[in-house]
Amino acid sequence: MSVDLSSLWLTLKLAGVVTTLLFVLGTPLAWWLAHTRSRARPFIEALTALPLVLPPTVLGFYLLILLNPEAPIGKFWVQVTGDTLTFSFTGLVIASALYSLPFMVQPLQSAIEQVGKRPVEAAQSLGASRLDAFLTVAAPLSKRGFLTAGVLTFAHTVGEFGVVLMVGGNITGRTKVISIAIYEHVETLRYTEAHILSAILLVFSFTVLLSVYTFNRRGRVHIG
Amino acid sequence: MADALHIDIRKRYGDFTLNVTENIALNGITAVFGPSGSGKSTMLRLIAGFNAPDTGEIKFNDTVWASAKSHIPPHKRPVGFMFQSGELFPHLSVRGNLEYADKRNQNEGPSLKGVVESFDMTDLLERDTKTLSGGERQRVALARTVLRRPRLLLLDEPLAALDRDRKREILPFLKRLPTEFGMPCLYVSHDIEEVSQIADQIILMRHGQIKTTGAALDILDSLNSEGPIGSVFDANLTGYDTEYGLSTLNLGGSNLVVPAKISGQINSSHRIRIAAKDVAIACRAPSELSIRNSLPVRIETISVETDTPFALLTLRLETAPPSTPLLRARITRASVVDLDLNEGQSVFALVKSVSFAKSLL
Repeated sequence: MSVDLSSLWLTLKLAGVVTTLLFVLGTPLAWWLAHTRSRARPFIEALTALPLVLPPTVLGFYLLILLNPEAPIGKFWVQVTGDTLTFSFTGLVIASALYSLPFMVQPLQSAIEQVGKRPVEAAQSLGASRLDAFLTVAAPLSKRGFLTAGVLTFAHTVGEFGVVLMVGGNITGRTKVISIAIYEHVETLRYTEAHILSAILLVFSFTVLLSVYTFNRRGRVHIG
Repeated sequence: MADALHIDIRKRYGDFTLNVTENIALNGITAVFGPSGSGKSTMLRLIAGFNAPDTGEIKFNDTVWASAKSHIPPHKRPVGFMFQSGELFPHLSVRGNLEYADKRNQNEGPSLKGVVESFDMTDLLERDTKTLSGGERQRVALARTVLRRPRLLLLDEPLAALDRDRKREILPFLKRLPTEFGMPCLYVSHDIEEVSQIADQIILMRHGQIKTTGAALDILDSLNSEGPIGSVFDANLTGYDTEYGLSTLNLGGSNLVVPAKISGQINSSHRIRIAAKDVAIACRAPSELSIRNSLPVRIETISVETDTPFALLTLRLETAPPSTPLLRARITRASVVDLDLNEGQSVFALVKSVSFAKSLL
């Protein structure tokens, strides 16, 4: 029996990179959605929420079409970096980021909406630029939203299967994340290894969620 | 020379349209007064830069703040804005809130320490903002706005959320802003009592437009038809009798005795309101009367109210300069006939001591 821990490491790395990337990209998007009066808002909201309803295979299929080395984007990437987007870690990051986008944006958006524009206006009227007001007032006031968004994104990326399989395949140390490793173990009837990896994932997920809920409860008591 | 604000703007929200063209000389406290929904706060928010006008422009002296081409963001306009709710940052202490403004506005102006002392907040500094009372919260918010060190203070109903006693606690701080810190104020309110106590000028708004502007006493006088009838005066404190607890005020050369201790120095100016129902008329100088105040006046007009038993008299104080507002008396029509009162006649106005509303002192 040999448990391949590289898949566990790869999974954590992927989830970490995706969560960081989505904090950077999702925060301005959530901010915009929370404050805009643009008519484009419902379209952007619907696009952001799509991964919630689409089967992962559909998203994975389109990404495969878009990112493969024959397509313009995929070809360009190969020319610049020498590596493909499909069946690579970078491809996994792109696919996972798209797939986990709503888990980042929706909690952030509702947290920012709940803070409202008044505290931001108050900060601006005291001499803070919009960015300053966001960093020093809106962000600290919505810190629980940030925590929820980060944890959900991370956990969702860890648990992902379909999109990853479509875009990344099953290359050990490169694209074989834990969910795919488990699937492979089951396919090849290696139940012990499947048990171990599944148990690790189960305990990890439960611990993460428990700590979030505990923190949020304490936060509420403090605020109330 | 005083700063001036030039406003020429239109802004639509659904059925409501704000349409304002006005030059406002920024001096002392200018109250923007009108009923809810008349566009007062909308105008203030446009001046602050939170929203942009649909068309038109806002200029501060020669600097364009808002026009079709440009919009200076709020943090680049030298204004401080105080919200009705105070909007203290809940994640910062009182000190943290004050330092937030202090750090970002290192231009000339009052020091943090000076402001803390002036607003009597030394004991509040380390408090959590969530534990402050309503009055304390507004006091901190006001101090924080002053630490923006602005050229103009915009105050959006800063007392509306407070009860009567708390209002009375904050009003003196508001009143001092222009003289103590050299910051003129635009003060939005729908409360005539607040406005009559602190305004130097009044901008009267109705249905998204400015109806009239002028010196506070003139506008307040013209507003008489809309509230309980009375007159508003500025009177100087001349003395306090500790034995009987009576303050004496000089109203246009005549003495007024008020049964209260008025806080303030000798010669300080106080705004008082005398309700028309609390003024009686005597044809000769009265004696042996419990009412202590009798002022020599000349009857300007007598308007008989045909649908009530009353008549309204406007009275010019004989001793006062012509610019002083008129006193009003509401007496029965029968008395007008019995005393044979006529316009132009010299009589005495008896002002009941109790008619000086306490909240105005």
